Amino acid sequence: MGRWLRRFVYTACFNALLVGLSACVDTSAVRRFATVSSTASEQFEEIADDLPAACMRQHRYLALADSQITLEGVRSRAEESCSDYVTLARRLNGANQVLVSYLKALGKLAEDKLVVYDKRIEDVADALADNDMFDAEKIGAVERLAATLSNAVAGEWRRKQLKQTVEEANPDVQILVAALRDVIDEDYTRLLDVEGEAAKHYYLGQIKEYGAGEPLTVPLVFEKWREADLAVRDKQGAAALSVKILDKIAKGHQKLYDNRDKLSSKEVHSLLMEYTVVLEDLVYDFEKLRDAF
Amino acid sequence: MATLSAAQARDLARLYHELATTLGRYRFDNWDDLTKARRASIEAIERSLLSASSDFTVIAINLALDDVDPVLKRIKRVTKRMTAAVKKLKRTDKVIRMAEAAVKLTGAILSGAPSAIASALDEAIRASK
Repeated sequence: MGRWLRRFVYTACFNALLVGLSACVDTSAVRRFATVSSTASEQFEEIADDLPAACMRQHRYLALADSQITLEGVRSRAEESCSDYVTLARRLNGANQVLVSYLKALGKLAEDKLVVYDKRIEDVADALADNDMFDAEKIGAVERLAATLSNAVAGEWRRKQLKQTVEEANPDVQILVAALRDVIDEDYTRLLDVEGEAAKHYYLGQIKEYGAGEPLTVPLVFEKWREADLAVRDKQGAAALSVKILDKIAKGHQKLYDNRDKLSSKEVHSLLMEYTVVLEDLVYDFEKLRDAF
Repeated sequence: MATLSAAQARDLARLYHELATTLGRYRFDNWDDLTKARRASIEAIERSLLSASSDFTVIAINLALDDVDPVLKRIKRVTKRMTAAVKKLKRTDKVIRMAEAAVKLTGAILSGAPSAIASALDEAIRASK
């Protein structure tokens, strides 16, 4: 085998080794954070879909309290009053989907295989140093080194893309998450309060109006009112969890931005894992309240 | 005509809800002291206030979404670029696989082992597909 060819292979392998050693890129924590965040964000859909439903429930109570109206009138009045909410829910889901798609893409971009620098690389260095002809073992070593180089180069490119993305998107992600958070924390929560007030308006009105004449029906009406109240409270509990989830996503993304120059560092890894674990717990708690919807 | 902001619409929604709640409390607390006609008129106002509260809520959310519209467009653009980057990475992976196969083939040729050369050749062909 020609000496020039061996020299070429040796040089290539040494270069590979140098590049590989300088580019250990582990963005698995970024991937996990982004993946859990996207899953968590998908739960917003339950809330967005409940906005028109909450409006309908509220208007049904209000219409029922109106003794002048028929049952058909109750339904049509509620539908008429809440048609804007149906359009709104689609719009909100669209906005949330932008966040989910962003987080999913971020997770995919951060999806890499950890480049392992172990004794195999030293073996290759030793093998190349002794200047022998290649045997089967050394061929394997060359293969592994090539794989290491490939991963390192791809990983480095990926890290740069991640940094650029997080840098560019962070201000907008913060604004979008804050907007979605306000919708849940202020608007949806108030809509549920109004629903609760409308339920009280109807049930307590019935008890006050007819309770004295039909005392046996009072406990039944109270029970219905209690059930309606519990349903509202469960939804408010889910809304509070959803707000916490969005807060964690915003803070976690901010940490990504703050540490964008060292995304694969151990420090960022453990920091993001903390956020990820809390998010997983919040998602688990939200799942338990899913029946509320 | 001055336009309403999302925050102002939210304030109005909150205000109407609070007014309805206060009126409802007054009506139920003074049920026996109020005439039926008076109760009915208060109840009608409560209904209107609660409806107005949810009407202002839908306005508030729509205005908030209008505000984030340019933000959504920018995030979509970044997402599109990331998706393209992931595709590029996949293409890079293919190039890398081909390079690995080429290295393996070189090694096999250097070793002179026919079985290793055959196997490496197969791999190189698969990688280039």
